[in-house]
Parts: sequence; C-alpha cells; structure tokens
Amino acid sequence: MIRIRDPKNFMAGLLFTGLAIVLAFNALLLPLGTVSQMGPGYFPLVLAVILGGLGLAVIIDSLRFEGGPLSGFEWRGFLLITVAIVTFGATINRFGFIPAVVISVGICILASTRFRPVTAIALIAFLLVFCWVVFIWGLGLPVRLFGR
Amino acid sequence: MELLDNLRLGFSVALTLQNLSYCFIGTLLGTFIGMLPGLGPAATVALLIPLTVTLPPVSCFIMLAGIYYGAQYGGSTTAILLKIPGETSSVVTAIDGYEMAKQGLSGKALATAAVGSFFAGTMTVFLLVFFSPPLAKFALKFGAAEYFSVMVMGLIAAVTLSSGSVIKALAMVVLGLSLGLAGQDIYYGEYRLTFGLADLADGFDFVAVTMGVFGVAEVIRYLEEKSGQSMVIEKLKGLWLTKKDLKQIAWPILRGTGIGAILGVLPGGGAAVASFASYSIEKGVASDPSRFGKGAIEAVAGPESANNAGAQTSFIPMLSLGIPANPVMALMIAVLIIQGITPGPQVMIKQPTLFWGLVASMWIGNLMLVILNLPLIGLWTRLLMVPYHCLFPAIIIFACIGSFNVSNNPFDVYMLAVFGMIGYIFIKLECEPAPFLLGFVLGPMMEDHFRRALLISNGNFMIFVTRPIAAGLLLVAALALLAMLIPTIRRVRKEAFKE
Repeated sequence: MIRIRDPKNFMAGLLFTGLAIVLAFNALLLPLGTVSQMGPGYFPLVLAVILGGLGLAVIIDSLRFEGGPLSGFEWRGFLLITVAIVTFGATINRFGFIPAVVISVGICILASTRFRPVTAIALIAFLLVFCWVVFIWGLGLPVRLFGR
Repeated sequence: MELLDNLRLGFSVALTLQNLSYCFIGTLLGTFIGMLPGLGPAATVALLIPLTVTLPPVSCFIMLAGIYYGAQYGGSTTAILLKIPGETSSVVTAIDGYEMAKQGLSGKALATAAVGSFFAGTMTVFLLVFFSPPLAKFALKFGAAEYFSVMVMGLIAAVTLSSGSVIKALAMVVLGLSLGLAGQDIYYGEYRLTFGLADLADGFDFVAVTMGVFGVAEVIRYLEEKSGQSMVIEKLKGLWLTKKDLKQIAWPILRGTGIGAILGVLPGGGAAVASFASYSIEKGVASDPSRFGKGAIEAVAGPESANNAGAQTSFIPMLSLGIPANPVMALMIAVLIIQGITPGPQVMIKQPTLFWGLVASMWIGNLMLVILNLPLIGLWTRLLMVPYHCLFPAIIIFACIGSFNVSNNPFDVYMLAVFGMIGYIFIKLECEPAPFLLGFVLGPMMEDHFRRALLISNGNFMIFVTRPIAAGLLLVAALALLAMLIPTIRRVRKEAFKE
C-alpha cells in the first residue's frame, strides 16, 4: 500500500492533473493547426500537457516527501459565502439593489457564529446605507433600488 | 533637455485640480480599504478598478497608483496597531512595530513608517524617471520572440522568488495562463473554454477572478477561526520623532530604499522579499541585535522603506516592458488593455502624458500620504476598533457590487462566487494565488507573441535560440529554474521564507 506522505500536495496534484485533462479535452475539440500556423487549440493543448506533467510531478512528490496534514475545511463559511454571493447576483436585477444587499449581507452574517441579533440588524442597516451612498449616490450605479 | 520637458509635461498633467483630486481620493480609499484585515493591495486595487476604468487613462492610473500606495500604507498601519499584516511585505513591520505599540510608542512607529515610505517613494521616482525610458527604448527592438521570452522569464522569476513549492507555483502559472485564454481566440474567433455561454465570450472577468481568489477566499479562511479572537489595539500615542529617532532611522531608511529599489524590479514579490531582506540586514548591522523582535525602530524603518521602494520600482518593468512584477502590476496591465492601450515599450512613446503624468503623480501621491495619513491616523484607528466579524460582510458586499458594476451583469457576480470557492481550495491546498493571477493576465499576450514568433520563423522553434536577446532571456529563466533544484539553494530559500 503506497503511503500518501503529503495529503495537501497529493490533492493539489490531483487537482492539477484533473484540470489538465479537462483543458486538454477542450483544446482537442478545436482545430490545432500547424506549428507555423497555430490553430486556436494549439497553445491551450501545450499548456494543458505541461500542467498535466507538473500535476504528476506534484503527486509523485507527495508520495515521497512528508508534509503537514490537511487542516479543517470551513464548510459553513464556504457554502454560506458562496450562497450569499450567488444570491446577490440572482436578486439584484430581479428584485433590486436594496433586497439584494439586505439578503446577501444577512446570509454572510449567518456564516459567522459571533453575531447577536441586534448587531446583525445594525450591520445590515449600516451597510445598506453605506453602499447606497458610495455606489448609487456617489458613483451612479445604474440599478433599481426595488424591482426589475 | 528632453527630460525636463517630459517632467514639465508630467507635472502639468498631474497638477490639474481633477487629477489631484483623483490622486487624493485614490490614496484615501486605498488607505481605508488597505486597512481592512484580509484585503491586501491586490484585492483592494481589484475592488476599486471598476471605479477607475470610466475615467480617461491618465486620471485612471493616477488614481490606481494612489490606491496602491494607500493600500500599502494601510497595511503597515494595521501591522503596527493590530499585529495583523495587511499583506506579506508588512509581516516584519507587524513584529517590531507592534512591540513598539505595546510599549506606547505606536506614534513613533507609524511616523517612522510614514517618513521611511515617503523617502523611499521620492527616491525611487527618480529611478523610474532615469531607467524606464532607456529600458523602453531597448525593448523597442523586441520582436515577438523577445516579448514571449521576456514574459516567460518574468513568470519564472516570479515563481522562484515567491515562497512555497516551486513546482506547484509553476503549475499555478500554467493554470492561470490556461484560464486566461478563455474567450474568443483573436485570430480565428473560435470560442475557447466558454462552455457555450455567451457571457464568457470575453473570458473570465479579471476583477471577479482577482476579488474571488484574493478577497473572498481570504474571508472564508478567516471564518475558520472560531475562537473569540479579540483584537488588541494599542492606543495611539505621540506622533513625533525626536532627533535621536531620526538619527537612528536614517541609515536603515537609506539601506531599505536601496534594497527595495533593486528587488522591486524583479518579478515575484519584490516588495515582500525586500522587506525581509532589509530586516535581516538591519539586524545584522545593528549594534545591539537583541533589540530586534522587541521593538527596534530600525526594524520598522528599514523594511517599510524597502517595502515602498519595491512597490514603486515594480512599475518600471510594467511601464517599460509590459511585464508585471507582482499581482498589482498584473492588474494595471489588465487595466491598460481595458483602456485600449497595448502594454509594452510603446506606451511611453504613444502615451507620453500617461507615463510622465503617472510619474509626477507618484511623487505627489507619496506627499499626500504623509500629509494625509499622519493627522488622520486617529480616525483610522477608531475604524479598526470595529471587530473584524463586522467587517467581513462589508468586504463580501463590496466585492459583489464591484463585480456587478463592471458590466452590469449578474454573471460576473456568479464568477466571483466560483473563483472565491476556487481560491479557498487553493488556500487549503497551499497553492499560491499570485502566480496564478500573473499567468491569467499574461496568457493571451503570451500566446499572441508565441504564435507570431512561430509564424515569422515558419514553424522553426530555433528562433528562440538564434535571436540573442530571446535566447538570453530564456537562458536566465532556465538557470533560475535549475537553481531551484540545487539542494543548498532550496534550503536557503526555505529558511528565508520561514522567518
């Protein structure tokens, strides 16, 4: 049984190799052309191959050299922040600036365990006003406050 | 004399009321946002880019430069007052600067940082003025092969000078290059990596990418710490420097400026490496090295000057050759492209107002920082009293609005989310984001030069060997890579970055 000595690098190597395969696949769908008249797929393919090679090198290194263990993955923050951002994108044109800011900041606040309800509401209010001042009044962001 | 005429042109442009106010707003915003822990200069600049791109090129870059210096200075302030470095180059300031603050000498530390940075800034502007034009003139002889080689060398140098695993950093560069190519192919119009989405026809928006990888990812990382981490802010006292202080910091500032000026030009975290180097040197020449780590004023003076000098000289390769020495310069190059200006040596010739106006405003910006920040420090410190868990939602919402603002398209916000996730994974797997960003910005240009070089040579790869400049640059890159493999150098590098 081969021991993975460096889990972080092992995963990194997998990531690189995996992405290299995806990129190579995408590149091969395009015309490659010749060396003197490179097609759109040529350079991407070269890069993908190099990336794959480096990925394998990282994997091999991870089997040979010791490295620290993987530290905890912040799932709650990861998911909630992503949801907060995506929600902003989804809400801003459909429901307007104010709902988008309020909902997104609200979701962000959920990502941290340290908020009390009063602080949360205060922060949402403050950021709403602040963003309005800076982006809409100050910079003239062309977006509705409410509604599409 | 041509130089005087150019400087006169520069100052006439920089001293207009409009540009002065942009410079001012830039330094103000940069300092303010640079102070927010977790937002380094790259993320700060990326966030504020949407504000600047609508401006004419000269004003745009004047403001961006102001933001950059402001962010650097803001980072030093949090380093001294909170022991939280705004970015890598403030790490050493955080050590001795914070110790000084604990001893009630925070004012001195901040004043030292300001004075050192101002001196370094002023001196390096001269360097910029004297070295950029000849360098650009030399680079005008560059053909496609040379441009390609200089970019390769720049990227490799960035990898070798940055901390962490060289192979992984190289992989990050290549990954960045690959993703940077997304969008339409310039020659053939074919869509690459767009997954059939019309919104990706121009590739991934670099503001979303940068904010995601540098800003959002850091916020997620911050959320890992569940412990009630209360920030101990040291009270601000006494913003004066006595004659004795000035004597003590004079030489460190001079040495720091020199180190920073040289290292800042080299791609790959020049400012950070410079500040570490300055710290080591100051410790080495100090009459009483045991003071270091306990609040030695030289340990703030030297690195801060090196830091600022490095930040400014990193403009040299960007303005004269079109290669980025660090992620912020990569962003500047991206902005040049957005403004319709092709980066490279021709910038100085085709847009002299831009170059000389920028140079003049650098000096003005440095002056503004000293005048602006010292009195306003009290205000900034009050801001820092806000607990960080209240600040991170602000960072996220600014990033959202900022990304949306670029083309009023929610898609860019989704990209922000995607790259935030990717960025966090990078952090967890210890993959450096800076090389990724450099590759991302340079990707399309590198491909363009590569293609053209081989078109000219009719498919003959020997063009990179037979043309002397190109060959030389590639040789330097190869040597740098090989040097990384030598065990002794690996050890030295590891130790240097462990500090």
